[in-house]
Amino acid sequence: MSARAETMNVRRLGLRLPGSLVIGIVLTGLFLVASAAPGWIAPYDPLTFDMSAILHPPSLAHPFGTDQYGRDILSRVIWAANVDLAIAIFTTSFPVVFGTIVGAFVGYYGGWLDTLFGRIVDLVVTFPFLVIVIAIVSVLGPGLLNMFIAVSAVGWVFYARLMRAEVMTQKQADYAAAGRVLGYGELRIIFRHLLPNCIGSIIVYWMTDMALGILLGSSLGYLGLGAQPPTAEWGVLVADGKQFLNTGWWIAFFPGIAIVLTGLGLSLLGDGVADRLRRGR
Amino acid sequence: MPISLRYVVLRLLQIVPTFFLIMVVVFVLVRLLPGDPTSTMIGDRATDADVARINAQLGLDRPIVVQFGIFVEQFFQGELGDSIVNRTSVLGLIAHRLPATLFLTAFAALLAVFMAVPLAFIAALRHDSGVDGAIRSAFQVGLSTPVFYLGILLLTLFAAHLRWFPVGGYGETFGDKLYHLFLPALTLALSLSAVLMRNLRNSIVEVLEAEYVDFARAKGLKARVVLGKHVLRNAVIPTVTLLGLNIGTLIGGAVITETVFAVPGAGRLMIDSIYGRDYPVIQGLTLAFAIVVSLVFLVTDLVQAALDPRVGA
Amino acid sequence: MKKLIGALFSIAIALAVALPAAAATPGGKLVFARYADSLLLDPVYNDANVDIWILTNLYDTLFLPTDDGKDVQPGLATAWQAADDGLTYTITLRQGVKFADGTALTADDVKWSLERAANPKNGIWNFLLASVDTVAVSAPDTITIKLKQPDPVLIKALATFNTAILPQKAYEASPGATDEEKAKAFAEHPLGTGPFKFVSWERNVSMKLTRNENYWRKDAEGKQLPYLDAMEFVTIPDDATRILKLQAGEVDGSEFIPYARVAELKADPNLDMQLWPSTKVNFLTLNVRPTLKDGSKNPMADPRVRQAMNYAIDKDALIKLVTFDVAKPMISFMSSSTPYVSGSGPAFPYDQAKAKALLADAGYGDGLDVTSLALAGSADDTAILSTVQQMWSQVGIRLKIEQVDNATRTARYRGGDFQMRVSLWTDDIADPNEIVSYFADFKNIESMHTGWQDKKVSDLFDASLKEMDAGKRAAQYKEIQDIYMAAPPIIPLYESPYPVAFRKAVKGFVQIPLGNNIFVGASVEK
Repeated sequence: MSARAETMNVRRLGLRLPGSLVIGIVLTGLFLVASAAPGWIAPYDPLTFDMSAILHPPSLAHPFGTDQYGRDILSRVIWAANVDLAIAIFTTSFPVVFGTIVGAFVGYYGGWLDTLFGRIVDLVVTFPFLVIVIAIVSVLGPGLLNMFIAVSAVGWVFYARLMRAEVMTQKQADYAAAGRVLGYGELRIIFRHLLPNCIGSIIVYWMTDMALGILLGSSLGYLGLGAQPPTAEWGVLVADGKQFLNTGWWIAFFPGIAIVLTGLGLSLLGDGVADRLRRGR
Repeated sequence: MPISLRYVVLRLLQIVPTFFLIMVVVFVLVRLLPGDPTSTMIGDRATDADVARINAQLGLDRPIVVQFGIFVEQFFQGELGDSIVNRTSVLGLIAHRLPATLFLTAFAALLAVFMAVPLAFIAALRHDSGVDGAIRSAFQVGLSTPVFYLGILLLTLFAAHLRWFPVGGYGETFGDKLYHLFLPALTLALSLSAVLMRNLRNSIVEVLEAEYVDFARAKGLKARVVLGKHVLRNAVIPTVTLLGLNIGTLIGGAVITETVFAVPGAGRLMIDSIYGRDYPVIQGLTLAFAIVVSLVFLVTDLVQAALDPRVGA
Repeated sequence: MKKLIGALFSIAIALAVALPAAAATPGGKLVFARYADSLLLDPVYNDANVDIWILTNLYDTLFLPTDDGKDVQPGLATAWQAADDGLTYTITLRQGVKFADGTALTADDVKWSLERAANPKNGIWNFLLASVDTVAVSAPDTITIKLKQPDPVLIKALATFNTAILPQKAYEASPGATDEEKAKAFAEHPLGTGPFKFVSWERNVSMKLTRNENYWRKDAEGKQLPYLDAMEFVTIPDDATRILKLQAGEVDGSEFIPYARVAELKADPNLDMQLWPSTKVNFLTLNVRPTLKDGSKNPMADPRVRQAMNYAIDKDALIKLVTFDVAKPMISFMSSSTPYVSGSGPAFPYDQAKAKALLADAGYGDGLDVTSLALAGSADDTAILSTVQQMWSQVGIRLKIEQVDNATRTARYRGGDFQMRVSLWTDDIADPNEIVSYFADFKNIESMHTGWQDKKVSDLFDASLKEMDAGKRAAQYKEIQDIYMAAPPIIPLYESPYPVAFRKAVKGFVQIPLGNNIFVGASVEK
């Protein structure tokens, strides 16, 4: 208990960031750097075949080994960061903004708006998520852009429902009631008071959702509906390595580690930011 | 308690038009998908005459409005038509496949709660400590591992090498099912429990730091009472919400889990039916999923209302 | 000529008797894991290999394909005779054969089954019996088939899955207003004279069979067939899981082992990795119409472009990268297991310079862009196209890969809305007539929907359908293959075997080149 109290005190002074947040920032930073300039970092071209280096295990020449075409896994993992950053950002940016705003209004006003929202949620959520995405991607054709559209069409509902529940709990709170008594405009109450108080769980969910977006790309890659070959994408790389679990474990392992570390980074960052927001209010 | 029978009935009534809307949307949407069941089924070798003949036999050459009329008429007779690909009754297929998915989903949800709740409490009480970090990282690894990869790893380790569990399949008796579905349920549960754990942990931390807990402490209430009264109640609501929200995702996630673990479930049937453009099965399954998810939502709402009188009702 | 046929026939009988070579232990149960479940166990209305390949375990045909898939041996018929004009066939039926439920097989069952199979309104396989005019019962043990025109392939057609003999009474007692509805109902509980008797079927999970106590065949030592007491087919779509099941001993055999894992399973001391010679050919199908669906000019309409594309692929390297050296190069568009195949050496040996010259000659010296459809989620399609993409980039052909799901691919393919796709083919009959009618004869399905057309080929093919002289038919098919392969509307890649793995204890399984999974001689040794 005392150790916790100490860190909390230190943090209240704003002098130091907690370790988990630092790790989150570092991992996310690595991810951003790799995706910003893969060409400078990657030792090989991610697409060129090398018939003399087929299925080589990790070595000095190829730290992450090579795949069935002799392509360097490290280079493919680095190049894939770029694609996965795009996936993480574009699958979530519309849902988080739109969903939060809709959820805030619905939660605050309730009534017929809530009923209408309830119907929309029923409509969207009664379809299993992955199934809906697969259906939309089948209509539009596979590829990243269509995946973004499909995920956005469905994903905002999750944020909206979360926000709605939060706002409904919070709007009875003293400060909201006080705001009303003071005669503040409703928009001001929603955006200045309710939103900051509810945003914590949205941010936490958002960071998780970015990692989930990468995983969804991987599921779609497994089904062949995600990034198209020869584009390297972590999920697709893991899916490619599935056949070689016994003879070339490194093919799926290193891209898998990249997904895990990025997910870890994003979630630690999310928790850390949420903590600070909460304390800042 | 403000949950009235009237509220429940009202909610159920609200669902009916939604279902109708879902049916119309699905009916049209599946026919918008490129390709058609007949040529998909008889494949690359069939002549155009073959395709036309079979379409006529299946009634797929009629206007879409007429087809929808027939579908609705069948529906009110308690029928959902025949699968085009499997050539058996859709109702029979669903009755056969849905229980496996529901069993798997419920099992996974239960496992997820069992894993997430205690560990979330520990992590929250020791938040920002090494224990907290370790718990969160462990869940994150579970969350970030693609389901098919995790599934194969679990299978290789626990089924093929250690022989603790069978490699996939679906048992006959209840106990047998628990045994067969443990690994797939665990696979599904790992990602869900990570989401639950993180949100629950954050909620608890938030409540612990909120003024009224400090206030309660100041009043000299025992920590245990504080936890029980305030923390639990305020932390459980988002958890229930999330659990309800994620049922659809869970059923969707079951698609891949069912494939990897060879569980004959409805998720896999849905994917196969979309690929095969098996319109009647897609329609029937959508309806079945809609019913299941709506019921889960209803229960979620009721639980929320029961826990927190300020919500709904 | 009749004498000659008779002589061939006695050879066939000798082969048949020699079938199970090793001594087999009777009894036991065999569990076989398949990648997909059957859909419709009716010989006439089915349309997929998941049905075709296991039907012979339930139903018999009048003749049975030999294990090498090239010839026939006696089945429910013991002898046949053709009239001199080749228009009447008299077929003697085996006596004392019973269906699995104990009812006797009659000549009426045979007549009715063949008429149902030949009816042009029924299913998609009736073309194999297009020459049949009437079928009549001329004696309790004899049927007479009258033809509209001589048919050199009739006897082989009577050894093909769609002419299986079903019990007329049981079939007609099935509920349903139309023949197809009856077929659906009957196929839920199929009944035939085959080595196994249907017990139960839980769709996409398992199908249980038991030995047919009334089965008519014995092995060389006079032991009753089949050896197995029971069989179960289980469906496990995921490749890795299917193999794990086999390695854990939960199943005895597993089909469709990915090529990437063949070497690994070969090295496993507990497993018997089998590669059965097949009629399976893997190729890229090209759209060769003068314009594409969007109205633009189609570079692949130019034979030189197609030749260049062929020469620019290093087949040996491709086979190594994609199939881990399990497959072999094609010498024609048909497999080397197909009768009358001709060709000297691998088609279009790798020659980059020639490819470049051909492209320059065709006006594509600066390269060209093409797009290929790929089946989403197919490791094979991805591997093939990724490799071809690399090889073609060396000569300036820029290949774009577009993954689509099966239904979309089929729709675009059938509608001519594609540039190329990855395809595979297996023969269903031990004759080149089927593959040629689909690949090279425009009037069937526009030469595999490529739009390729050659009048000489169509004329030769029409003539071959009536040609009773084997030597002349061989010449006709050689000429067809020569014309087709000069600048084919396909890119032949490789022919590949059927990869099946069993536990070491399992003996006697056979998969013939046509694909049929034959368990009649299979046994589980202790």
